[in-house]
Formats: sequence, structure tokens, C-alpha cells
Amino acid sequence: MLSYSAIRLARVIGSAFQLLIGRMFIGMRNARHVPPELAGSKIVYAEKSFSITRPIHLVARIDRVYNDGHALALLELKTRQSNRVYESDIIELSAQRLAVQYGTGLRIHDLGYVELLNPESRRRTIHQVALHPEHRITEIAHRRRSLLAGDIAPRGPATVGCCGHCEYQVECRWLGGDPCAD
Amino acid sequence: MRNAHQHSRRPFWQTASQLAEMGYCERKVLLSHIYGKRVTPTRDIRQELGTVEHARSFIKAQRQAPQPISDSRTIALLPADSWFGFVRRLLFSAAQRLRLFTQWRR
Repeated sequence: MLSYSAIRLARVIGSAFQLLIGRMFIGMRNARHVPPELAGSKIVYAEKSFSITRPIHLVARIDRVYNDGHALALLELKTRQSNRVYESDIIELSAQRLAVQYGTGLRIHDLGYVELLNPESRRRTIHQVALHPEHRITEIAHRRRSLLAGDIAPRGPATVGCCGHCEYQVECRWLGGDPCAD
Repeated sequence: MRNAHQHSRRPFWQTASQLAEMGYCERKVLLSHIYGKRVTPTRDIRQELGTVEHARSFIKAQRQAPQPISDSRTIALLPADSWFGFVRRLLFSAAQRLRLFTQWRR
């Protein structure tokens, strides 16, 4: 009887120890996903939508917002195989900063973070990027509105390689000649 | 050629993702506006993967945050307090991926 109790007690202690070690490893694993510059920062928003009407009508959904005690920092998660940050990522993050800045009235860092996750290897990489100023985002918004209104002609793709995967290759030739011409 | 956007007094709402597409290819922005959004099976799978990863990231953020953070849309998408919901979501995603992959192979 005594030995049975001792075994049960050992099992309970073992489970508690396992749980403690497990939580430590989870903490270490999660800590790796935080940019080193934001170590010690607190998460204030996650997957939260902001909508503003000034200076432009904009809706943005933010993946994560950290507060390091001085200002807020934005992080955008992207799932892709290539370990590259594109111009579109920086524009999206900059637009998100505009939405959070006017939505909360708080100060936001000029640097943002793009977390790239490779879906096959599960490897995560965090890139620090310099965000565009406010006037650049409003320019892009006005340009998009003019483009959809038919007032201006569209420019070609930013990178040549993206045309191979495009779903509008046939229509693109009708619109402005060969894709990737610009 | 002018359309309703120029003359309408209604506010012209744009999302951050739509602005991001401008940095990719303006022709694609215009063509998707004219012909509607097209999604290839490969891109659909990638978007589905991205949705699952965002949900995982949200759960991790909930664990790391000192105060409870919540959002109605994400909770509707994936109940954070229910592991059954999480597993069901992953299984649904895997099934959908398999279906799209078989369609694409044909």
C-alpha cells in the first residue's frame, strides 16, 4: 500500500515537473518570435481592425502591436517560401501605422517588423523595415482612386518575375502590350 | 473614362491590403477591378495556409499578452478556448487543401 502511494506521489511530482519544463520550453519558443529590439515589450493588440476617416478613408487589420514603453511597434506576419520583404509589405505596414496612429492617437515607431514564416520548414525570420511617411501612403491611396476611375494609366509590375504567376496575363496584353514591358 | 468613384460623394474606403497591391502591380489592380478577383488553386491554398498561421499567431499572442486580448472576428473564426475548434479548423483546412490540390492536378 505504501509503495503504491509512493508511486502515485512520484507520478504527480513527475507530471508537475514535466509541466513546468514544458512551459519553460513554450516560453523559450515564443520568445524567439519576438524581435530582439522588442524584447521585454508587451503585446497591446493582436488581429485587431482599425478604421479611420482622416486623412483618408482606410481600414487596416493589424497582426500584432507591441508597446516598448516609448511608442508602439507594428509586426506583420507573412507566410511565404522566399525569405524576402517586398515593397508591398512595407506599404501595407505603413498603411497600418497610419490607421493605428489616427485611430489611437498614440505614437508609433518609424520602424516596423515583417515576420516571414516558411510554411514547409516552419522557419521564422523577422525583418526590420523602415516605414513610409504619411504623405507617401496618401499619395498611393489617391493614385489608386484615380487609377480605378480611369484618370491615369497603370504602371507595370515592380518585379519582372511576378508576371509568370499572374492570373490576368491575357488581359494585360490587351491593356498595355506585353506584361513586364515597363 | 470616368466612373462613379470620381463623382460619388460617398467616402471611398480602401484597405491596407489594397494599397499594398499597388506596390506589386498597378495593372493587376486595375484588371482585378474590371474583371473581378481571380484566384488560382495554388494561391487559394497559400491564402488558406496564411489564415491558419494568423490564427496560430493570435493564440500565441494571447498567451504572451499580460492582459486578455480578444477580437470578435478571430474568435468567431477559431475559438481560442476550445482545442476541439482548433483541431477541427486544421482538419478542415487540410481537407480543403487536399481538394484544391486534386483539382489543380487535373
